[in-house]
Amino acid sequence: MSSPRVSASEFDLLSIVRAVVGGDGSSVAWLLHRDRNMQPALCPQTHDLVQEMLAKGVMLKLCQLGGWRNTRSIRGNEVLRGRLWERHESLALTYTDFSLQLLVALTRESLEGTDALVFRSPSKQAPSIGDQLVACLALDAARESSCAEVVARAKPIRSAPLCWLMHADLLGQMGKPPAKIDFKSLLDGPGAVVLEALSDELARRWFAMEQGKSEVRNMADMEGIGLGQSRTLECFLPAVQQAGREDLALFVVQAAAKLHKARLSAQDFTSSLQKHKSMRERSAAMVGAAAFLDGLTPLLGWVQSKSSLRFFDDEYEAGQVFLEGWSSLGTLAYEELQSLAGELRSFSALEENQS
Amino acid sequence: MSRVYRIRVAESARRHIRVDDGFQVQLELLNILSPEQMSELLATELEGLGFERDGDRMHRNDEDGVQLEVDLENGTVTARLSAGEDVDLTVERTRGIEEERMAQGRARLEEDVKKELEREVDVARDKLAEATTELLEKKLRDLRKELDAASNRAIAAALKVKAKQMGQIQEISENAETGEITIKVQV
Repeated sequence: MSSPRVSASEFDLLSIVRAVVGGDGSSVAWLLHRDRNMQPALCPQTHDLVQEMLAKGVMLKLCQLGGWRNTRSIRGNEVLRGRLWERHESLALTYTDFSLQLLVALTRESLEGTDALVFRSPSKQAPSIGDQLVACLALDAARESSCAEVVARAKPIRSAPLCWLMHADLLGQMGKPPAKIDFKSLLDGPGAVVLEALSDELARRWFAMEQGKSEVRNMADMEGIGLGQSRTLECFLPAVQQAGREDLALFVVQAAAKLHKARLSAQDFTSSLQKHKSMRERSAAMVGAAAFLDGLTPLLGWVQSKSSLRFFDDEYEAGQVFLEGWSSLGTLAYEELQSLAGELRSFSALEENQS
Repeated sequence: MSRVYRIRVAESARRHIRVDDGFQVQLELLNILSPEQMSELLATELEGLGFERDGDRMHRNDEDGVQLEVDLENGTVTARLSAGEDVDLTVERTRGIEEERMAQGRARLEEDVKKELEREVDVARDKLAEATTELLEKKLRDLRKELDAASNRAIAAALKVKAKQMGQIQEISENAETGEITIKVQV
């Protein structure tokens, strides 16, 4: 059987798809910085190949990012144990025109000198869970290829709630967050399964966002990172609580635990910030530096309510899953982090940042 | 050979420039009593410093133009300062322009003068912004001393209330210089 024949631009598209799902964005950096003439529609072979690469590649990536871990999750009042494919019978991820348009946009235009990625005919439908994963992986690839800003400014990318969970810092820097981010699609069905798989990865990323603050020089960037983080947590945590899936927010607890262990001081967060700016900008930057720490506030209330559940309550088992996750941080460490947040927003932190 | 004419273009403008700046910080108040009781003690101290109460917020407008607000619920202190001034600016430029390029040359010179005028406005705005920021930096230092002292007095009052709840107060000694307070309680 002969191999399918595709045009040169479609070959580049397939290379970009492989790099996006394979997590090797740097290998195609040179492809992302070129303009191409692409036909309005892909040939059927290319279309089928893209669908196949997404179906297999994204699922493999999900397993690599944390689906392989032997852990616990909640279904109703039941606690499930095992690896992702043992806890859930199936995970059906679909990829709509959103994914195709995103990948074609990455291929068609050079990302150098562009303000924001443009989808040729953006759909009014919300992206599917599969689409949101592709968007997150595309942002990862763009970050490795130094063209993340262009992708992060794209409206369709910013409409994907999973992108806010995975890249709150970048999206916050590249524009004002929406007034409300709707996380409902991620708290049930395939969305919740994906969040379970990504729990450790999300903890790693949110801890990295905090560590990264020590290298932020521009005050507007620090403010943006903080806005992205605070809007994401303000919308995500209440949604998770309403859905009775507080276990899906355990990545926040894990990130906080790592941060506490790292013993960062208030100066560590703001050591690189440039001086000689207006008081408003400095003040907003300090609020941004404290954003994740401030976002932890609702969690203590959850601990208190889960601790008061009795063993015969329906939600008891689920509550124990959350409390076990909480034990990696603990109330004392939580209070120390709250104290650190207070330090970042104090008179002395702002005075130290004066010219 | 075409003639060269020296053309002079002057542009004047009167602008009102305005800058706004401010900061927000968190007061540290130990929760010796309940948060509500601590807020009330702080409110009492702030009233003594000239703040006026409006529900859960306290306001003060200082003579230097700084507007202060303290949120008693979360301990946030906000300071705002607006400054404005009228500036009269004139920019004049002279350039030699060849006769056959007179129209374009003049148009370009006028555009350059307009841009220069806008740059002057920006410079004036930056100067005003710098002065405003300097004022706020000084305010930050003064306000910190003032509010730290108010917080300490509120904490001392809270300690006395707490001590009364624990038993009979036998002795209270306060060091006004260091802010130290010693309370002997018979439990």
